[in-house]
Amino acid sequence: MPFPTDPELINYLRDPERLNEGFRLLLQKYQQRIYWQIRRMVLSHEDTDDIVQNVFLKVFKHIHNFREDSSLFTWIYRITVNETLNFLKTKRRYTFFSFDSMSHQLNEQLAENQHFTGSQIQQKLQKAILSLPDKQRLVFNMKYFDENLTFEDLSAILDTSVGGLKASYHHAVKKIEKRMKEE
Amino acid sequence: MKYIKHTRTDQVKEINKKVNSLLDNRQLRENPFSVPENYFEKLPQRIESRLKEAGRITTEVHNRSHSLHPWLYAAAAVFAFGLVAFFLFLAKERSHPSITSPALTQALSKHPKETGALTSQVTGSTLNQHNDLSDTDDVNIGTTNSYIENSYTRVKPEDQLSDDDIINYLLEEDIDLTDLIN
Repeated sequence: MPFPTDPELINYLRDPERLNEGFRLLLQKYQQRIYWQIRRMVLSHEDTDDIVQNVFLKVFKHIHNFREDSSLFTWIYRITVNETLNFLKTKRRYTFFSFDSMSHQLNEQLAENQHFTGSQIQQKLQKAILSLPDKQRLVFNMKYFDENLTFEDLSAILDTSVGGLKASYHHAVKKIEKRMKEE
Repeated sequence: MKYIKHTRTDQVKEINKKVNSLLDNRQLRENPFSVPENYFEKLPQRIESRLKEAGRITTEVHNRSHSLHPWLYAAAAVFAFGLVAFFLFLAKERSHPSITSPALTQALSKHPKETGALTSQVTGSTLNQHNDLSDTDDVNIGTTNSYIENSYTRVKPEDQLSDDDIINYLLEEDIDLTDLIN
C-alpha cells in the first residue's frame, strides 16, 4: 500500500477525528528517512533514537502552526536539521573542557559502534566525513547518501542558495578525497 | 581573463571527475549502520506513548497549578491584612506623638497634679493640628477626640489648681512674677 501524499497527510492531521491515524501514517512514511539523516550526523543509535522522537513530538505539537509556506517534507526536514545541530552544539559545549575533541569522540564512537556493519573503506569514508565542520558535513551527508534530495530541496530545507550549497558540497568532496588518500 | 576562467573551470571539472571516480563507488553509498531488531516496527508505538505521557504531564502540571491557587490567595490575604494592620498601627502612633514621647511622660510624672491640665493643653493643640488636616483624617481626629475625653475624665475638679494655689506656690518658691511675665 503506497503512502499518502503530503497534502493528503495534512488533511488527515488537520482533522481532529483523523489526527491520530494521520500521525501514524506520517511516522510510517518519514521515520526511516529522518532516522538515517540524524544517524549519519550523530553516529550513535541511542542519541539518534532520542532526537528522532523529539523531532516527531515537535511535528505533532506544531502541526497546527504549519502554514504550508513550504512542503510538509521540507518542514519536517528543517525540524530534523535544527534538532540535530542543536544536539551537536550542546554536546560540543559539554566536551569543551574535555581532553578529547568532539570529532575525536565521534571517531571513537564509530570504532566502538556495535551497530556499524560497514566495510573498511566505508569506515574510512565515515572518518573523513567527520573531519568536516558540522554544516558542511550535513550538506554532504544529505546530498551524497540521500540521492532523492536535490540541491533545490536542500536549499529549501537549509534556507541557503543553491550556488552556496553546490560550492559547499564540492569543497566537502575535495576534503574527503584528500583525507581518504592520506590514510 | 577568459582563458584563466576557462582553465579554472577545467581544473574543477578534473578534480570532480577524480573525486567522483572515488566517491562514485556504489559500495560507499550503501548504509554502513544498522539498528536493533524491529526498531522501526516499535518506534511509532514508542513515540505515541511519549505523546500520551507528555499530555498527562501537561494535565498534571495544570492541575497542580490550580491546586496552588487557594494557597496563593490565602497567603496574599494574610499579607494584605498584615499590611493594613501595620499602617493602622503607624497612623495611630502618629495621631498622638506627644503623649507617647518618653521625655514628656517623664516630665508629667514629676508633676502629677498638673498633669491633667497640661495633657488637655497638649491634646487640644494636637486636635487643632488635626482640624487643619483634610477630611480624610476623620479616623485620626476621632481617635484624638476620644483621647481628649479620656484625658478630661482623669482630671478631677478638686485636683485642679486655683489661681491662689499658683500664687502661693510662686511665693513659696520665691519666683519673681516679673521674670515670668517678661
